[in-house]
Amino acid sequence: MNVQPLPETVEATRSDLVGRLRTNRLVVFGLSVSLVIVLAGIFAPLIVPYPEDAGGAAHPRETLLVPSSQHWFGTDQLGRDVFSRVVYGARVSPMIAFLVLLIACLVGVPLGLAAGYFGGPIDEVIMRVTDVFLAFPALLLALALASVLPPTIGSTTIAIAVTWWPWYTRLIRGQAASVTGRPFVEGARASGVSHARILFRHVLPNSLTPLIVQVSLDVSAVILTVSALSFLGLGAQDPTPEWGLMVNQGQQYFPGQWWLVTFPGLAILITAVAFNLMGDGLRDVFDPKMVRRRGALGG
Amino acid sequence: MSAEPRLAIEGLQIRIGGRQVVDLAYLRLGPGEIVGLAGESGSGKSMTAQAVLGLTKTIGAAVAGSVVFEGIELVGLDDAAMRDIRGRRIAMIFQSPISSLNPVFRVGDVFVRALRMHGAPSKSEAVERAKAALREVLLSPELLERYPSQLSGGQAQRVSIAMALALRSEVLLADEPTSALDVTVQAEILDLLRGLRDETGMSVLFISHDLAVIAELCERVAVMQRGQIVEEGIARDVLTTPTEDYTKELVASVPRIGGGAVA
Amino acid sequence: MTRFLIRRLALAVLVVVGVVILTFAIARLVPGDPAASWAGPRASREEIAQVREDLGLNLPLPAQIWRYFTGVLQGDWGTSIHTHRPVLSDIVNRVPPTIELVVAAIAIGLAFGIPLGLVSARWAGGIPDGLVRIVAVFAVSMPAFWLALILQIVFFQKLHLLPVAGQYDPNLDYTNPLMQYTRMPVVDSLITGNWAVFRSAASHLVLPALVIAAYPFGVVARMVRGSELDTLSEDHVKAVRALGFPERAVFGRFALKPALVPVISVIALVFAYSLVNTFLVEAIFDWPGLGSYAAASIGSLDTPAIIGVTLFVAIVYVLANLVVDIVQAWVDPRIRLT
Repeated sequence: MNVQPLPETVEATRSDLVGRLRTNRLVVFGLSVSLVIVLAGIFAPLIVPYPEDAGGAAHPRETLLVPSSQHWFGTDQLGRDVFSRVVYGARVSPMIAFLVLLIACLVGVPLGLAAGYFGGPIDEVIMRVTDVFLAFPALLLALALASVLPPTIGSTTIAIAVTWWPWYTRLIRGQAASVTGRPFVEGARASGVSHARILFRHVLPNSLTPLIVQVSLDVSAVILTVSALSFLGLGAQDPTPEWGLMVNQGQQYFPGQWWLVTFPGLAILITAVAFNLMGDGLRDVFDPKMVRRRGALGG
Repeated sequence: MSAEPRLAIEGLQIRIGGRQVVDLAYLRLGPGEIVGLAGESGSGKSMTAQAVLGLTKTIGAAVAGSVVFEGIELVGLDDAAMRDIRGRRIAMIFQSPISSLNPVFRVGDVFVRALRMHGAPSKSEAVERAKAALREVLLSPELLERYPSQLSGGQAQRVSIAMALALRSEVLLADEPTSALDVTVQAEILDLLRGLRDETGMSVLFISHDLAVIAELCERVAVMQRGQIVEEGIARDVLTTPTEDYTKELVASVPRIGGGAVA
Repeated sequence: MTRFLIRRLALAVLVVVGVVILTFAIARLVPGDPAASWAGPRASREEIAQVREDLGLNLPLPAQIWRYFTGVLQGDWGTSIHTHRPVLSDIVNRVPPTIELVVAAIAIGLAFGIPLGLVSARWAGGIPDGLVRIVAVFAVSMPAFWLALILQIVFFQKLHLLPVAGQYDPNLDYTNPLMQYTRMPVVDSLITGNWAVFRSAASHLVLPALVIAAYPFGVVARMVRGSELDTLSEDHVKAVRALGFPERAVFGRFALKPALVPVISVIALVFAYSLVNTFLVEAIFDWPGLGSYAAASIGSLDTPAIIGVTLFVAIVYVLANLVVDIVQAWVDPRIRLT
């Protein structure tokens, strides 16, 4: 009889992580769909039937055609193929989202590191400013900013990035503060290791995992924000094939020419779902908390 | 000599996900006896105690073998009967006293509910019994109004013991009850357990990795390693002159002041 | 508890001060001429100059901030370019319908989210769990404006089941005129016993509320599931099971109450998100609330109105957070005792 000691905790080994990732079907679905969407965006010019329709083209004799074999998603009010535009849209919103998150990290992470590591007055000032930004619901602040800026993709990006950085500052600050409190950091400082070295060699790497999880969970939220701004007329302008903008433009032909609104909106939904599932999966994989017990009930 | 054992565990096997974690040949607990279950972390001591009360299903463990309590076979017992035994006849206390109490309920809420569930005729009667039990463990009855976060570790553990007392349990399974407490508080809890046994004849299965505490409190001890009992007998004998190698290692690793055997 | 309250209140006040200053910054520090933006696209040069005077744009920055601050406190939040009325009074007029909508939405979200989250936790890993999780993730990923349009097609166009415009049938103003107290038709008709209006108002409320409820529902269902599962693995649950409580009491009372604590904290966030979602949805349903006012202001570049709405919603959010913190501290004593 082979009796083994009961493990006190279930430490996740590398193969465990991959194993867990593979077994969660929803997550696999999310990951693959996200990948398909990103690839579709990248290879859009090669795969769509009417690439010029995603730009300034107009076909006045083919306006508002019902979906058919020639135009899978029909055509819009300018005769442009909706399918082509929707696929090209996969370049716009996700790309804006990635840019936004990149900027938010570039601004928020260093601020969070500084606040958590140095503490004291630096921490106070940074956190108070962060608190004020966080006092605004995200979409609201982005809306206010975007409405005073000229309506372009750039403005959208900046507006949302300005709204988003505080979340990462707060997240990183917590991590940095707890890592800084550990004895080995004190020891390093005592032996004269420079602040920069400690920050980049020790504090930052230990704070990265929750950041990665949070960023991946945020992708879908940013995409929804981008499309909301465009829907209100604040972001991308015609002829840019941004999904939210397309829904806005299609509103006046609704519900007669339902395809103008349905397909771009569906694209937003599916993209958001895919990235959400992916983010969920990453969180489950990296979450240091114990793996949840199956059917945690007893008799 | 010993009469019929109150609790008799025989051939207990616990598997988790295909892995065998406990393979216990036999363990007996007589009326009014305090028996120690010693061993390192992961030896299966907690699992054994939880299996007695059927608490291992939540982690998907498969239990086979026999656990007989006062003539009742506990392994495979139906839910309703098991719930009747839990608390009322066999009680269990755990290692982290404050975490074992529900943080968003007042101490009295859970206490009184438990008494009502196990047969107290009315709420006021249950409250009276709870207060009396608290006084028995040398706590002020007004602690019923407090939240667990307002108690010290020692107080919280006494509350759990008071519940066993109020429910008039015949067996107490104590899973590392003093490991999270200061040494002085620890001594008080041990005194309390001894006093309870003397007054009510409660049997105690005292699980711990701390041999010194076991030596102080228990009459008999069983040593567990990797889910199996490697040595068992009168505490004094086993701990001063161990026969098995593993027991010898354990005993040798206990720090002593000025050398000499564990008292 | 009082010390906690005072601390939280003071913090809230500080944050509101910060919010006002940040709003000021957005209003003023924009590319171009803030006076022109405040006066509107159709303003003449004289009007713009007048605005510049009124706003004190020629004054040093601290003085500007002070003037803005005192203006806000006195209720002068600017004049809407579109309606030519004080922004604050516009906002106050438009708030009741939005409250009606958001409260209904959150109620629906909680009413479905909590039970389904518990179902998910109870059968974690099984089919009910999978189904609820899929629905929840779709709910959370839903573009509100799109859902609004789709529901309109389905329920109005195709099924002719539910109305899609306004708060209630305007004809009823002639046949069963409504006494207005709260200016929320559903509430007012209920308290005055005006059943014709109540039925109409309730049926008009359904679709917009469902749209706004999607996000709260998804968030709450997911949170309840996670929180309940986490709580079930805690020591005190094991202890209460060992006392002999039946599983439904363990699951539904002893694990549920601590599990709901983090859910409470998320309600403020969900409330604010829903409030802002009304900007996207009200216009589609012809709902005369703050959301359609905000959307219209954005469309007509009505800067004073946009800034006013922003300030208003932000302050509401601060208050919502304060309320939620207090409720949380009341439910979970660990919070107020640390």
